[in-house]
Amino acid sequence: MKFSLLPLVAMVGVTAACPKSTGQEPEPEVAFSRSQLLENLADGVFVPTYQGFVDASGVLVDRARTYAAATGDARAAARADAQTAFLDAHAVWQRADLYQVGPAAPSYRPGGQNIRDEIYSFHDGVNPCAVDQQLVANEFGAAGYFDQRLIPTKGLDALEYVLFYDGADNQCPPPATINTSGAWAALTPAELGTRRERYAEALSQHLHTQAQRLVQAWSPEGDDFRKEFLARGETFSSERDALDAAFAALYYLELFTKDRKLSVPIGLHVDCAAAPCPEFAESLWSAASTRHIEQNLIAFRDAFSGNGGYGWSDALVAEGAEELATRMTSHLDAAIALVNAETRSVDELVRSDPEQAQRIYEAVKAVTDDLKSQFITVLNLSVPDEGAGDND
Amino acid sequence: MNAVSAQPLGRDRRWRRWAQREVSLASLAAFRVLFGAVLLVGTLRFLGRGWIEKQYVEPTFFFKYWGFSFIEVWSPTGLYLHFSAMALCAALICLGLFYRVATVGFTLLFAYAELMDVTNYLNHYMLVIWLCLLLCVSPAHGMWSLDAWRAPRLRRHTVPLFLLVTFRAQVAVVYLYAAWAKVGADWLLHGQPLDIWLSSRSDMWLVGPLFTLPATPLVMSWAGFLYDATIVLWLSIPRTRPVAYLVVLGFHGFTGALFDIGMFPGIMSVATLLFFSPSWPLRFVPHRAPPTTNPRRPAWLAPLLMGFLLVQVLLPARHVLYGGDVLWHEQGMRYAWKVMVREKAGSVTYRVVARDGHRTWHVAPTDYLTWRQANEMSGQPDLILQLGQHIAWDFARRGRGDVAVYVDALVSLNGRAAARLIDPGVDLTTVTDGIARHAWILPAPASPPLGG
Repeated sequence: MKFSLLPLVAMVGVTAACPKSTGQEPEPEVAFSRSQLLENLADGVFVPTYQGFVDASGVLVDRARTYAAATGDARAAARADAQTAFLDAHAVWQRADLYQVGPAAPSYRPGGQNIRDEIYSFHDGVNPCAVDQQLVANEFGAAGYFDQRLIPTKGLDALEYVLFYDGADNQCPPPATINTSGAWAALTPAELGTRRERYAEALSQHLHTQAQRLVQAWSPEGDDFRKEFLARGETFSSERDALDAAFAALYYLELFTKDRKLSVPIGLHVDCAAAPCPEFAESLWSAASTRHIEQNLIAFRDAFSGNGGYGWSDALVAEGAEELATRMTSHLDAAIALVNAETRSVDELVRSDPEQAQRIYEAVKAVTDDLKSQFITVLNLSVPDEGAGDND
Repeated sequence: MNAVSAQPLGRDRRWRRWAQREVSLASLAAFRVLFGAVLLVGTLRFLGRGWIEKQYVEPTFFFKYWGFSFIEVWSPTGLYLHFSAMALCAALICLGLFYRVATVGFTLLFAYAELMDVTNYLNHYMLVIWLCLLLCVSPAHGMWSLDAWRAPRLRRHTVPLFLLVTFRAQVAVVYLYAAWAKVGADWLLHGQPLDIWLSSRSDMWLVGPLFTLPATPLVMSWAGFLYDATIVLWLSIPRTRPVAYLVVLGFHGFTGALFDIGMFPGIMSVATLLFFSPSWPLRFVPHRAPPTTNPRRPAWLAPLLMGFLLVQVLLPARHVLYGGDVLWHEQGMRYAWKVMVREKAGSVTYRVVARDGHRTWHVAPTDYLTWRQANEMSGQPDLILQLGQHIAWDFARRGRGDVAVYVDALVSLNGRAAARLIDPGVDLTTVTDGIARHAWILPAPASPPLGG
C-alpha cells in the first residue's frame, strides 16, 4: 500500500498548494459562502418582505375600518381607499408568496406552520359562496372568528371579493341553503353592503394578525425561526437542507405563476376543459392578475440578486456559472418588462390577445427552465418534496 | 509438436485443479452472516423510513423495465407484507435457517421490489441481486448456521475455490467498471461532478473547509479513480491486503458520510472480506472441522458460474456499442456500475397536440409523477418516452382524443448549460422502446462541464 498511497499523498500536497487558476492572473478572493446567502435571504429578502406586508396590512386595517364606519357620500371614497390599500397590500404579499420558507410554508415542509394559507389561498382558493354564507350567518364580528373558519372563507382572495364585488346576487348555486331558505333574499342592499364592509374590516384585522405572527415566528422574541434557518439543528440538519428549503420556495414561479396563473387561463393546462379559461385567472374581482405576476417575478429577482446583499446569483458565480447567472437575470428582466408593459389582466388577455398571454408564459418559462436544470446541477440542490432516498 | 501442444494442456489442467480444489467454507459462511445482517438492516431501514409510502404507495404511475412490463405494484398491504417477508428472509440468511428457501425467496422478493419502478434503480441494489444469486447456488449455510446445527447432512466445511473466486470476481467487476466509468474528461480533468457535490457540503464537520480548496475535487476524483482501479489488486496481494482493507473501510466510510448512498458502504465492506484467505474467520471463531470432507459439487455449477461471469463482464460494457456519451444518452447506463459519476437535472415539458389540430396542451411530469420520480425521469430518455406514451394513453382514456406527444427536455449534465436531450420534433407515440440505438436522442453537448 505504501506504493499506492505515496503518490496520492504527494498529489494532494502539491495540488492543494496550487492556486485555483493556472492562468497568469491571480483570481480575486471569493468572499461568498452559502451561509452568507442564507443569512441575506433571511435578513435582506424574506423578513423585510414579511415586514412590508405587516405595514401594508396595517394600513389596510385602518382603511377598512374607515370604510366600515363611513356613511353617506363618504362611503364611495372610503371604499376606493380601502381597495387601494388592499391592492398595495396584495402586491406586497405577491412578493412574500414566493418566500414560503419555514413558518409561511405548509406544515409538511421544514418549520412549516401553514401561515401562508391563512393569508392567501390561491389556487386551491377562496370559495365566494362560502363567503356569502358567512355574510348571511353574520357572526364574523366575534373575536377570533376567522381562526375557527376554513381557508375558503378568509385570506386576501376572500377580502378581494367583499371589497370589490357589490352585486346584489351571491355566488352560491340556487339549491344552496342561503337561496332556498330565503335568507339571502331577505338582506336589503344596505344591510348586504354593511355586512360586506364589516366582513372586510374583520378579515383585514385577521390578515394583519397573521402577518405579525409570521414576522414574530422569524424573530428572536418569537419562535426564532431565523436561528433554525441559519444554524444546524432539528429543522435543518445541514446548510444544504436549509438551501433546499429556500430553493423550494423559488419553485413558486413554476408551479403557481407559470402553471396556474398563466397556463390554466391560456388553456395550455389540462385543468382548462375548453381553451381559453379566463375564469381561472387570479384576482378576477380586482383585475390585478398581471400585476401579481409582475410582483412574483420581482420577488424572484430579489431573491436571485440578493436585493443588495448575497443572492442566488452570487452562489452561481462562486461556482463558476457566471453565464447562467447573467442569462437568468436577463430572462427575468425581460419577463418583468413584458409584464410591466401590459395593462390588461390575464383574463382579459386570454380573451382578447392570447398570443400576448402566451408570450408572457414563454418569458416566465425561460426563467424556470434554467431553474429546473442547470441551476440545480450547479448548486446541487434537491427538487421540492423530492423525499428521502438513496443514491449511488 | 507433441511437446509444444502438451504444455498448454498441462497449464489448463493445473488451472482447473487450482480452481476446483476445496478450500475452507469459513469465509463464505462469514459473508453469509454479515451480508444477511446488512440485508436485514437495509430492509428494516427502508420500512422504518417510510419509503414504502414514498416510493410505492404515493406514486400513481410506475416506470417499467424493458421486458418486465408485466410487473405490477402491490396494494399497500401487499407491499408491507412483501417487505416484511424480505426482512424475514434476510434474517434467515443471516442465521442460516432454511437457507435455500430464504436466499431464493429474498432474491425474488428483492428483484421484484426493484422491478416495480425504474426510478428506484440503484447500482448497489443490482449488486445485491447478483450477490444473492451467487448465494443461491452456494453452500454458505454449511457451517455457522442453524441449518447445519439441526441437519447434520447439510454440514460442510469446504467449498470449491472457483465459487469463492466468482464472488471475488463479482466484486472486482464492480470496482473495475466503476473505474472505467470515471475515465473521461469530466471526472479526471475537471473534477466533476465531485466539485459540485463537495461545494454543497462545505459545512460538513471537520473536513468541510477542505472541500472549498480549489484542488480538492480533482484530487478526490483521482483518488476515487485510483481506488476503484487498483483496490482489487491490493486486496489480492496477501502482503498489502490488511492495509487495503483499512483503505476500503476508510473510503466507504467517508463516501457513506458524504453522500446518501444507503447500504452500499456496508455491502462493499462485507463483500471485500471475501478477498482474505478462505479460512480467515477461523482465527477469530475457532471451528472444529471433521477429519475428512465429502464435497458435494453439482456438475452444472462450474458452467453456470462461467456463464454468470461472462454476463458480468459483457453486460456493463454494452454502452460502447451505442457510441456517444453514455452519461448523456443513458443507453447502457444501468447494470453497468456507473456509480456516482453524473449530476443531471432537467426541465421537461410535454407538448400534447390533438391530431385534429384543435388544441395544444403543456403537461408537466409532476401531473403524473411524484417529485422524486419526476427528478429521476428528467435525465433518462427511456423514462421520458414511457411517460410521453402514457400521457397519450391517458388523454385517449379521458376522451381528449387522439394526440401526438412531443417533449421539450432541457437537461444539464454536470453543470453544463441545459441542452435538448430529445428531438422536439419527434412524436413520442410513434417511437418504440428497445435496445437499439435511439435516433430520437440528441447528441451530448460538446461544451465542458461546470468550471471547464
